[in-house]
Amino acid sequence: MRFEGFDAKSWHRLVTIFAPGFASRPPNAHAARERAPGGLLLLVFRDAAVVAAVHSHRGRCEATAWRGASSMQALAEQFDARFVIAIEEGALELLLDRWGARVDLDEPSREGWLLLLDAVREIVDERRLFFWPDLVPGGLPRPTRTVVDATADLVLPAGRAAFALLFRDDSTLDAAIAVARPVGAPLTIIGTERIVDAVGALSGDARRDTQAVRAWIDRELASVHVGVHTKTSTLEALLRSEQAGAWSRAFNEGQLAIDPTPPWVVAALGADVARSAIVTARGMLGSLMDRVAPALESATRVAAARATVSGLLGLDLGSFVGSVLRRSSAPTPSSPEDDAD
Amino acid sequence: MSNASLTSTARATRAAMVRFDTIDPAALDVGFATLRELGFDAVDLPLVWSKHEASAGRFDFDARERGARSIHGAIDAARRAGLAVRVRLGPRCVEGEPGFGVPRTVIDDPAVIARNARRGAVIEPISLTPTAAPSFASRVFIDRCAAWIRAATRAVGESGFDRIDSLTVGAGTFAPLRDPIDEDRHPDAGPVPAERAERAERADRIALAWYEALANAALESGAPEDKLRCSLIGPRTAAPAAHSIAARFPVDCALPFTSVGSEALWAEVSDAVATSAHGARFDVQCGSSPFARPLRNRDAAAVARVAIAAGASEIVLRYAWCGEGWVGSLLDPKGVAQRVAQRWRALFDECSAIAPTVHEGDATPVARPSGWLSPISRGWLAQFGLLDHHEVRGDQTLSELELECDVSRAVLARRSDGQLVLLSTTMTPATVRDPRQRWIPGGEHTMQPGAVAVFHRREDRAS
Repeated sequence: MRFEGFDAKSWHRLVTIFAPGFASRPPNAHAARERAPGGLLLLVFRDAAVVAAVHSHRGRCEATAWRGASSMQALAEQFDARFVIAIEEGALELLLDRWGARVDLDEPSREGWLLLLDAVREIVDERRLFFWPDLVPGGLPRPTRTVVDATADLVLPAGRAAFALLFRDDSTLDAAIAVARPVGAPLTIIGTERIVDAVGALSGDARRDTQAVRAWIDRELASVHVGVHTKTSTLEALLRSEQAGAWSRAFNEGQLAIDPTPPWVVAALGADVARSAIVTARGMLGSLMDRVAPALESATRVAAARATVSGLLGLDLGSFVGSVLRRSSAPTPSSPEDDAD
Repeated sequence: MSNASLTSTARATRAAMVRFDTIDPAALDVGFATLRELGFDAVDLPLVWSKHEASAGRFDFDARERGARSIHGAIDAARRAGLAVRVRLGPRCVEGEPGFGVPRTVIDDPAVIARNARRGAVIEPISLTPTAAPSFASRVFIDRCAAWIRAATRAVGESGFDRIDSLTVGAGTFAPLRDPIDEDRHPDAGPVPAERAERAERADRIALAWYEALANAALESGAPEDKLRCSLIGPRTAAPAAHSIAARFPVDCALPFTSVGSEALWAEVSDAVATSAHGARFDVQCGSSPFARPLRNRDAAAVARVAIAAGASEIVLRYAWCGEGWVGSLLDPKGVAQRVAQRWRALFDECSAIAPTVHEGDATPVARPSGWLSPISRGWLAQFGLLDHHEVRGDQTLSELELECDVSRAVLARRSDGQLVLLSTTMTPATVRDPRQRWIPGGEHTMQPGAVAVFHRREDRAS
């Protein structure tokens, strides 16, 4: 994987849209961070005792008793945390030992990560590691290497490229990323600065600028497989939205432009429309719909599974990311004045 | 702590790390001139081992097919631009390189790989690739590292040791400087003792032996003793071994993350200023690896500002110029300053305006804006919480100190003026504000000038 053409500011911008908790903070923000709500509570327990409790904002906490997974929500409320991870003393070492014993370093690295997932699942199943809230449904099969490869081929086939452009509300470019998957070469990830340098001065018209960027990627990198442009604020709202059909509505209303639109995007948007229709119908038809809805939802999932990433992986990634983001810190808006960061 | 702790302070040297192996040699003159113009007065050139060892024991310092570039060309270009030169030999001196920048022939050798309790490999994710970590106790690894240092030192020497400012060996966020909990089960490390204090001593011994092997290899190959340094990628308070190394060699350290807060940063630097006879040199991260938490330049500059204000004798901006694989370089691949570089120019301009005078002998708090600190506004210092600095008095008994050392890992040092200094933890104040975490003397210590003593937690002694 090669990264080119990001400065610290644009990379920070992109990462914090999806992971606001990773935002860089100046050293003088330390005290303010201590007072900020939310955060992660990490507990290390031994039998019924908490050996150590650390809050990501406020450091060490005075939790003393471990009453099992059922007590995690109460602990989260007590220490004002939005996420809690509890791990048995020694379980982390056990996890790393198991991983180290199984990894074949001659295998591709994704195999190593899948083995780590296996080891994590074992530790969870042995009730040595707990998460709150439990955002990943239990019983999911661990994706195999074939599944991971098929997902990668579906999202971005070899020899193709993808891009995303995010604009501020005044149509100035906020962040840009292009990903090229050359045949037989490492994935190349190109950032805002390289794209702007290559394309030249942008016009401030989002559609025209998107066409210019797409033409450059087609010409210099690879044929574009999927391209997205939208406002950063729209994307942040969609990522946090719990409303069925929000993505398809934004797409239909032109707030979210996806062009080209590969089959997996069409299928995902179609499934979103179907979910929205089911929710609407349930509101209109009441109890009658309650009997029909499960079958319809199941049919929708089966149809979507044939062509979507979620179907391949068996996990609705969009829903998972949304659940995490709704519990995370608020997004940090950027402005052109931030450009010297 | 008093202003006497600033007696070693002078105008800080500002070095820019340049990954010259990722940059077109034709761009070096332009880039070095740009760095000079931005206010840097030195460059830090890392030599990546994996790019120079063609096969076991066969080194090539111009191997372009493996991405290597000539160190001599980089040294020449830096000297032409009027920049001092420091060279970093590693073995691990840069982030993001596959296998820690150690050749596959070394890192994949079963005799080198660190072992966990199940005798499996200790795995670390490097740039999203699971990688076997080397054991620092492994005799094979020590020998291979020493061979690399000898070859690299000779290669640098061909340019003339008089043309370089310093030669740095060592480094690693991996094994040597970790807590003793990360036991190395490699057979060469010997059995793991049951007692925690003995385990700490074992870790200390392993780390020191490795650093000594590297330093001796450099000296044997002609490196001048006064130019040799050891690099700790991690703060001096990272582990007891760090203190043993710092007591033996001039060291370069990394500053803690910005999130620890200004007070902890200030304490880290001013403690190093107070206790190091060789100056306090610090690495400051510029940007980040794409696989690490992102770091904005303005936050990195704020860290550098605290370090300079607290008396660091040298700061090195890691990856100030990097061709690829790094997010946040100050220069583009052609050597032209990016927009963010202006932030650093402004910081250096501000620091250059400060007269390099030394304020001695005043017992008032170190953060009082006087002497060379006076151009920095009191309001700015207060904003960073620097007017409320912890002080350990020389006349305190150890029992009194025990009550006062409200930190998770503490080291006590005696300064050359006889005053005791608490080398405090780098953990966040919130983390260490726990009454259960008192620290007490962990054995017999002779407090000679310059000596350091490690304090162990009460519960450790009780056990």
